[in-house]
Amino acid sequence: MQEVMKRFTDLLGAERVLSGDALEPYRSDYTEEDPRDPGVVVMAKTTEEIQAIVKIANEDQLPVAVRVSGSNVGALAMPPQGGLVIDLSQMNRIHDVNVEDMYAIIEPGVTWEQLKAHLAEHEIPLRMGYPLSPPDTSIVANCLLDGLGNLSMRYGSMADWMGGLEAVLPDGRLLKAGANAASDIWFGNGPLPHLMGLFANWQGTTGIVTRLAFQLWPTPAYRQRLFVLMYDRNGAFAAMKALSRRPVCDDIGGLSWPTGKMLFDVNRPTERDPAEPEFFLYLDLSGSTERELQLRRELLDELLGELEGEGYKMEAPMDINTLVRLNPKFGKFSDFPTRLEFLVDTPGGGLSWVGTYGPLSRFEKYADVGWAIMEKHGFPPAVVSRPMKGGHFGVLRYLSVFDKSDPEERKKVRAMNLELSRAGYELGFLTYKTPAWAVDILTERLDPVFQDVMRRIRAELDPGGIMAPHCWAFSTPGASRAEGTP
Amino acid sequence: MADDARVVIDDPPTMNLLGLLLGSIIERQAETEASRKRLDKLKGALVVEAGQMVISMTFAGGRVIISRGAVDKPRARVMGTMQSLMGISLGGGMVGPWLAGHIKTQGNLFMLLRVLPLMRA
Repeated sequence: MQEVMKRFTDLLGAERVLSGDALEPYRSDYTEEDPRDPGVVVMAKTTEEIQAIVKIANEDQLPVAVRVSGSNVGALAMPPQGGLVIDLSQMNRIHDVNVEDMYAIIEPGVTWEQLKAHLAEHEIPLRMGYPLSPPDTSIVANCLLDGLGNLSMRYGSMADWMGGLEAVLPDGRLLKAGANAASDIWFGNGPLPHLMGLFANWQGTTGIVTRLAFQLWPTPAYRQRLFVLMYDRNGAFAAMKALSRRPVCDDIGGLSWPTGKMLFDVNRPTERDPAEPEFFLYLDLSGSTERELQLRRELLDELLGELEGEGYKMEAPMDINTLVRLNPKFGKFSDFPTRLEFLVDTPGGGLSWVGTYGPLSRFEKYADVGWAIMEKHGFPPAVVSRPMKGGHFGVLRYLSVFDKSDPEERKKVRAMNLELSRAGYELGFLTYKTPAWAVDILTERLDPVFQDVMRRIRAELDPGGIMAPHCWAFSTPGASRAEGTP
Repeated sequence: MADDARVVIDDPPTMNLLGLLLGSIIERQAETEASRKRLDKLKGALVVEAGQMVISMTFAGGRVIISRGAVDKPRARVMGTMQSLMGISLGGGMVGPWLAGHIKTQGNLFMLLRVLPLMRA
């Protein structure tokens, strides 16, 4: 390790090569995963540096993990034991915003708050969708891990928002993927084979993306955010299905009752009053004119009226500004990106989830099963959901907040997450940002030819097997790691 | 919970949304001297029903304890939709919704009128 440290120091300077106590923040994340010790952390600032770092890692057979803010809740940003972490938080330039073609070319360290501030500062009339992750997290990471944001109901999950990319391959070469492989405008994939797909959802196993065209959307002149309290979760799902198929909302998000109470500083709500709302819908409406917004609002009221006619009980929509007047804590939902302290800054410090994409047609069924699993394990059913891409699919996430310092709690979370994932797979819901333990049980049902093709692509691109070996590590069928070990 | 807390939620993990919301409003109100004086003078229980949610606010010794459900023999009771009660919290008058039948009251109306300013957001 001393020799390789010297090589990194020669390349980057001592201040950008971390060891000893400086590695502590890299050992763990929010989740129930046991800490893992990196061998060394390097801070890269340029594509050329990453090319050189990867070459050294290959020569020294160092397993590599890439990290920006370390806030992934699938333990993906945790290092392989003894491995190399490439910290990209200082590689945070916004190279270009193409206003006419609506994209920004950004580096992996660019955060949501940074790009938002940049657009505001330069009075660029474009917007983006924000996830519920903290404002200081990476846009590129969310795209590559196919996360979602508050425009995903309209435009799909974030891998669909990539308009082109550049990536350092494991052998150090730089690949251009997307229309930018042949065009000076990064306008999307173009009529080319989808090589951007070699990096989306591959969890860093195929290379390191150093530039990405992130697609932006026109900012509407008029916007309104509403909350609707639904007394029955199935009513909320019915509203999601119906609204996602009509040109009414930019976004429909749903939060179950425990998340609403966490906002009032109840860390672990244990019981729902049967008389209180079970689900909170938040709805974003917009229009380029006041009249357009008003028409959408009328359509919304009409549709909610239809649902009430079908017997679903709900309160009338409330403007977010009204809720903020009632309690300023609702301000957490009035402007994105936002830091939801009740999830990420809890006393126990632990946050984990089973996040799945799946069919809206089975939301009710998976909610029934998932609710019961969480309650069985002693956790409130904290659920976040949203229809995606016009209702072609949706997201159901089961969140747990826990005490990381308590081994028993961590064990409980592991057992619960496994059970939730298994139940989801049974119903056709697939985990996204798939953690290693979920890959284990996914292996049992994932098409063997699909697995073989994945292995072959990976072996072709990364013959040394250094890139994120802890990710997408298919186990031998019947020899799952997930059940027995932490 | 601090000993000098003016608002006490009885068993927060099981409290309903109505109780949490009203508790947070009164807590903010209690930051003003006028509201603290008002709290000091209040005694007895008020039951609030919004939609199907029911809570009790029991005033004594300058503090209010908010509990789920209705206590026995409250001094007053106010019932309405969530929306109409929130309308009052947002500064709307009570007479209009009362005349329209969106809000109903029972018991000691004077006590209710003394509590209402504390429920204003």
